[in-house]
Amino acid sequence: MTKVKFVDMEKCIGCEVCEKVCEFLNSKPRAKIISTKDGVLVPITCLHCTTPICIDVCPTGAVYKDVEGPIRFRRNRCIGCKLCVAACPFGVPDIDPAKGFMTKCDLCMERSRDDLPPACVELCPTGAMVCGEYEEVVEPSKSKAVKLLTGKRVIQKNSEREPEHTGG
Amino acid sequence: MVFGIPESRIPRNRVLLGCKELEEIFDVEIKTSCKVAVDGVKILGDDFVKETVELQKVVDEFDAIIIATGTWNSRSLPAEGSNFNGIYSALEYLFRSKAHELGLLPKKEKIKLGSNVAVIGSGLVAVDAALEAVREGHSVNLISIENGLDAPSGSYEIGRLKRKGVSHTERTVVKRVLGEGKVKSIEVISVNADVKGGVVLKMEQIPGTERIIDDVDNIIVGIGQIPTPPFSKEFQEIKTLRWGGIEVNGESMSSKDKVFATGDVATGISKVGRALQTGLKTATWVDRYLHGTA
Repeated sequence: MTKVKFVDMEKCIGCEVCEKVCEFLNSKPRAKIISTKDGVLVPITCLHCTTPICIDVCPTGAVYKDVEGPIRFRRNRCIGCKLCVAACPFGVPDIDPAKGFMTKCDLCMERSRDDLPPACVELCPTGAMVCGEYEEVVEPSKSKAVKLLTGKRVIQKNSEREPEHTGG
Repeated sequence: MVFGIPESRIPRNRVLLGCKELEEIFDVEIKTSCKVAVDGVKILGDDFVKETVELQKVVDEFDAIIIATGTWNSRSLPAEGSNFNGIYSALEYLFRSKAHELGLLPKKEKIKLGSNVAVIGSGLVAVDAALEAVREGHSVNLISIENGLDAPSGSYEIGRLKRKGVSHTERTVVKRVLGEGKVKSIEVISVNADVKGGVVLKMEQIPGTERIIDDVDNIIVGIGQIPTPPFSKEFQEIKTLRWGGIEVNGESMSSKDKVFATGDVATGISKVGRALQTGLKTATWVDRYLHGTA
C-alpha cells in the first residue's frame, strides 16, 4: 500500500518537535518550522508527492519513488546540482554543504524497516503530522470540513467493525 | 505539557497516550503524586503530592539520575505592590484552572478572578492565560513592553486575542500596584523600547506618561519563568547557574557524578521541540555513561 505524509495545519502549533527530533536523528533537520513575519509557524517538509517534480528533474536518477510511496534518494548518485531544490514547489530538498549531496525526508527509512512510523509523526504532540495510507490520513480532513460547515460531528468510520444494519 | 499548555494547543489525551506507551512498550515505571526534592522546597503542584522522597535517597539508590523538573517558578512583577492579593502568575493561573477542570483540585482552590483582569506580558504563556481568562468570561487588558508587531508570541497571536475582545496596552510597564493589600488599580507608564526577536534590548520610561488604569480586580503576570531544580540554591556538588538553571557539561552531566539534568531546568525556558531534543541527547549520554560505550 502506498504511504502518504500529511500535515494538518490546523492542529500544528509550531512547537518544533518534528524539526528537533529530525535534527537529532539526521543532524540536518529534514522538517523545518518556518515563521512568517507575524509569527505564524508553518512546518515545511517533504509531502512525498504523487507526481514528484524532483524525480523528473534529477539528471542522475538519485531521487526515486519507493514502491511503498516515499520519495527517497541514493546519495552515491547525487552530484549536488540542486535542480531538485529549484524544482520543488516547497523548496524541500537540502544540499548538505559539507558532504555535497542532497538530503531530504525519506520517511525514516531505517525506522520503517522495523515497522515504526517516521519519528516526526510518532512524536508530534498534537497529531498534526500524520503518515499512513491515503484514506486514513486524508479522510479526517473531510470530516473536519463537514464539522466546519454544519457544526456537527461526523460518524467515525471503523473499517474493522462490521457494518451496522440499517434496517428496512 | 498537560497543565502549562492549554488543551486547544496540545490535547491531554495525546500526552497520556505517550505515558501509556512508555509504560507498556518500554516498561517504564511511572510514579505519580511522588515528589522528589530536598526537604522544604515548595513548587506548583504540591497539592497533588501523596509521597515525598528525599533527593539524597534517589541519588544513593540509582545508578544514574536525570533531573528534568522544568521552569515552574515565575518572575514576579518588578513593581511596588507586587505582593498584593489578587496577583497571580500566569502559569499558576493556567495550572489551577486545568487542575480544577480535571477534578484534581477542589473548587475553593481554583483561582477566581474578578471581572476586570490585567495580564502582563506578551509571550505565549501570557497569551494563553489571557485566552483562558476570556474563555471564563472576564474582560482582559494585556499590558506589555512589546507592541503588537514585536511581541514574543507574534502579532498573529496578539491579533487573535484582540478579535476575542482583549484590549492591548502596548509599550507600557506597570509602575505601581494600587490598593490596600488587594489590587484596585494600577499605575502604568509608557516606554520607548528596542525589541528584537521578542527580546527587549533597551527600554526607557517616558516621563510624564504615568497614568492610572482603574478598576482592576486581578493581575496575571506572564513575564518569564525561572528553572525549578528539586533543591533551593545548591545540593551537594550540583551547581546552579546565576539564572537558576542547573549547570551541565557537554554530556548533560551536572557537577555531581551520575546526576544529569535536561530540558528547561538546564537550558532555560524553551519550546517543546528543543526540550525534547535535549532530552533525547541526554538519554544517549546516560546510556553511554551506564554502558561505557562511545
